[in-house]
Amino acid sequence: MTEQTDNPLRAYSTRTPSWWAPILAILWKDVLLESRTREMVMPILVFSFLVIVVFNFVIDPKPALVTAVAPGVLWVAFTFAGMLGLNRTFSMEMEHGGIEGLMMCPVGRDLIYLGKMLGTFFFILVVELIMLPVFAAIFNLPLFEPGLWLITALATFGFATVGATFSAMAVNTRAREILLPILFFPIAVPVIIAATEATRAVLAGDSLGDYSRWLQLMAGFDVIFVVIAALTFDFVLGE
Amino acid sequence: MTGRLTLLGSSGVLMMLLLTLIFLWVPTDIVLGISQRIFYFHVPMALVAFLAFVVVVVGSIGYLWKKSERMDALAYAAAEIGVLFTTLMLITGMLWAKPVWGVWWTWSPQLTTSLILWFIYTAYLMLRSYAPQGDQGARYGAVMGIIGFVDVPIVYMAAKWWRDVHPEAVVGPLADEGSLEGKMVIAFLVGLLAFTTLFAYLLMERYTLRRQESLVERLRYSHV
Amino acid sequence: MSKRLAALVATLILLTPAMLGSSHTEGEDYLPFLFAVFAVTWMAFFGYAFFMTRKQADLKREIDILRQSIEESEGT
Repeated sequence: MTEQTDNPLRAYSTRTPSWWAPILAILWKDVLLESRTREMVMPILVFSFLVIVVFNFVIDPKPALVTAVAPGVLWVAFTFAGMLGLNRTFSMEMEHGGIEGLMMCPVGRDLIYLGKMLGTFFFILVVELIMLPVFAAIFNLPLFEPGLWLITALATFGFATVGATFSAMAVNTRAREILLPILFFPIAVPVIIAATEATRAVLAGDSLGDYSRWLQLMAGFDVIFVVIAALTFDFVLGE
Repeated sequence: MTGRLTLLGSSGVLMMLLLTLIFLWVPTDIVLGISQRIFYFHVPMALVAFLAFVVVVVGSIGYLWKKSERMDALAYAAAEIGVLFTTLMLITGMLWAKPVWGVWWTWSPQLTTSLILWFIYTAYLMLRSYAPQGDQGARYGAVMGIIGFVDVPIVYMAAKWWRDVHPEAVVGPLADEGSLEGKMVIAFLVGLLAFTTLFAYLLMERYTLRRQESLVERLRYSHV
Repeated sequence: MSKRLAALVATLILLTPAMLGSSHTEGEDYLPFLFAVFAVTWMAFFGYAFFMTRKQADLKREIDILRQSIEESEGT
């Protein structure tokens, strides 16, 4: 898909040193854009903070209750945060014809997908890594576990794989803000279950072996859907 | 057309036969009593719903591969009827669970997966109605059809493992499906055949209607 | 015709909870559930057939309008 030398427009891709250069270029574009506009990380950060605070009031987590409800609260906050990030992934490309620019890029559509997907993954992950210590402080929990970081990374990657595809679809539909979560949540259910259960295991002090099947489930989800989404992205963007 | 009428007719006859078998012929289950007779409706509908979603994914791949509108209409029609059957499967399942287990709902892996299945294909139908008509909507639908289908076994696995961590709350007399008697198997097979023919008939009708809809849609735009 | 059909279906649906409410879930008194299953299933298929018929009627109306406008544009 990347090497179409017969098309002069695509000659660029044959000159680029490697297949990952376009991915990095798109990723870098999004990081640069974010550093100037600050429309993604800050609002999502504040929002997920708000979710955690609101949860604190509605469930009143007393110390005895904390380990039971904390994983759920954490993953509801992260899922909603991810949702907002996914909304932005392609809606920001709709402004000033960004999507047309992307589609005219002389690179394969799978590489465009990977670039956008990694950007989404990166931004949501940044928010989550900032939120983890905040969360730990508020709920008085030991969250500085490497296992937790791994869970967060695997789950967020899973969100980004299907989420980037759905985001690209939803921007071209009516009622796009409401359609994206309706598409995204049912598909992401296994990741949400796995992340919550693995977090519960970490907080209970279980060893890696006890919850490794949840990590495997998430890793499987990530691999399957990154492949399917990359292969089908050509159909999502269209001509 | 006559093929369709035959299909509808045989489905009707099979339904009558099924009702006769259910009320007058099959033995009453010793443990579950009369309510076990819901089984002859519930399980065939569940299997047909799954068959419908197989048709959706076949139509989706077919559309992306061949760009044939027929495949897309097939996928759409199957998704709509699949959601209908899944809805019925969930409702009849609840009506079965209440007398047997004493609860309307329990988060068993099968029930959880069925519910998520319902959500996925309802989302598919919403995507189709909110996305632009024609090729773009069809492409979106096809991608959603493929992703949704691949997701189902992963959902089932997650729901199963989740059940291990959160053991089932104590519910009434445990409904172990156990072995079916010979007569029960026959009634079940008649039910399966009846609902499969009904599905085939509905699918053909909905497919034709869908094709006509998109044809009229295109005519309107080309004419105006 | 269609209004009467809708009224009938609505009445049946409204009756279902009453049927369920009157049930005692003891012994062999499961019959209302069995009836509810048949009622719901038939109503759903009936409703779906009704939905398809209405769609077909809409389509027919649209085709008539299209034909009319084509004839008009050819007439002038």
